[in-house]
Amino acid sequence: MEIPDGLRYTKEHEWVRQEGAELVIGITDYAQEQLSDIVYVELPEEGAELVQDEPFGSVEAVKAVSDLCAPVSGVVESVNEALADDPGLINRSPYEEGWMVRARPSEAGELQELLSADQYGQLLAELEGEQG
Amino acid sequence: MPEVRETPYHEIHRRNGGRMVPFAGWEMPVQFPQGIIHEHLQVRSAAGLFDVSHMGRFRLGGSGALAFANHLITNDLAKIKGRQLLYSALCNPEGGIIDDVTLYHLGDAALVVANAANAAKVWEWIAAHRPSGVDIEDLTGELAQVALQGPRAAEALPEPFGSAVRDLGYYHHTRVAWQGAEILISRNGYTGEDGFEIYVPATLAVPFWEALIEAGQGIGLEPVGLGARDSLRFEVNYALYGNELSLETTPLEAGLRWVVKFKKDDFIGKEALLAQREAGVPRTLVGFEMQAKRLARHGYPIRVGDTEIGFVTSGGYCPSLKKGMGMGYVTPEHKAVGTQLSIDARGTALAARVVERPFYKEGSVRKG
Repeated sequence: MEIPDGLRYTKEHEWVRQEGAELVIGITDYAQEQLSDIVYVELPEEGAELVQDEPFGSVEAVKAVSDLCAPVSGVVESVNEALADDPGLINRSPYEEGWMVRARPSEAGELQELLSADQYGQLLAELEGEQG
Repeated sequence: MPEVRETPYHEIHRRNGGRMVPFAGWEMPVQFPQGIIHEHLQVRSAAGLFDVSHMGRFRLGGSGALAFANHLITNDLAKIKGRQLLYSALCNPEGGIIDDVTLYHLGDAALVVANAANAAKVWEWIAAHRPSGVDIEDLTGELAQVALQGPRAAEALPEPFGSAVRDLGYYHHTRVAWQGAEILISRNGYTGEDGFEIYVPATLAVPFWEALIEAGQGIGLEPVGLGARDSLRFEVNYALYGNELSLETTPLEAGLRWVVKFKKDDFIGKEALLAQREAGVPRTLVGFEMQAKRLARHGYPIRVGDTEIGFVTSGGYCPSLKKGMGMGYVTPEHKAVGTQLSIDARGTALAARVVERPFYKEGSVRKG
């Protein structure tokens, strides 16, 4: 299970990467593996407002539909248009080609409150433990 | 919480990397590492092996067993002989579907195969109606059940099974001697492909599985989970209990008119179903294709214009067709192919169009 250092994570299995003044958002390797075979992604429009912990879109796999929850508040600058034709990019490359939205954050402190790679790794270890 | 049950294949599924989930009181693999779409296409192109030991298996024996079984079901056992099986609804007196079952005519006895989620309910129903002279036995624990499905399924059968099924017709069964046991094998399935359902004593369950995997190596036989089992049946529009079928639906509404034999002497639900045939069904099952990219899901309302006319029973992605499809109940005036529907996906209207069923017509299933 890949959990790259330097990214921030949420308990809902999203990741956030800071690139200059923008934040790139996607779902984690664990999330894509749990969903498996993603067949559709609903993403917000450019300029849409993200509110931390509120749904901003959804991911549909063959067997499951999940809301995407905004890890931070902000305004959507762009969305990954390639996902419309090939949502499987999220399965194949969750942290790179499978990114979902770029946003300009509106609440400065929110990013630092998210989980580090180590903390997220611990969370996954606990989840695996529960599954026995 | 009742104890979660495990089939004899639990350890094999774990070793194969199966993602185990609770299903109808059992822990079952929903998929293996390569995923549902891969497994689905594998069954359509070659063959897959399913553990379906979670289903209920009940034997009805004694002098009145076949007559009793025929009284419980809407289809007619008198139309088949020993060595055949049939698909049927099991209804309550109101015509509501208690379960859809496969029933094996074993000559002087019958084997009822029920959905896992309904097994306890079906057992209680059979026990409550059991006349004297009929004995019933729950074989669920002592028999494992596997489904071998796909156009090349017959090639994956080791000897002496391969020879034994060479001339086995669709919906026929036979018995094969293997490692000191008599193994029941039938030609049928739930995928739209050629294939077999096989009943193995639990003590031989694991070596039998291993013999199949070995014999099927040449065609790339792989284990398949419940996820692909659902997408395969959905693509050929086979009904699923809890989706298309429920106590609130009748076989006439669910497109199962062909398993209701009104010419048969009395059976449970006959009067209510006759009355519904006279009056006309209040709703009927249709198939539709999505014109939007987003998928319809179980429970979403169906509208025509602003009027709600029904609901989605199954919705999702069809891997062989590479598009989103759905099934649902609508009022009969909206059932015509081409009817424009609007699916309410949690507030978003998705365009869809009624199409002919089944969605996937290229399957290798042998009829007759």
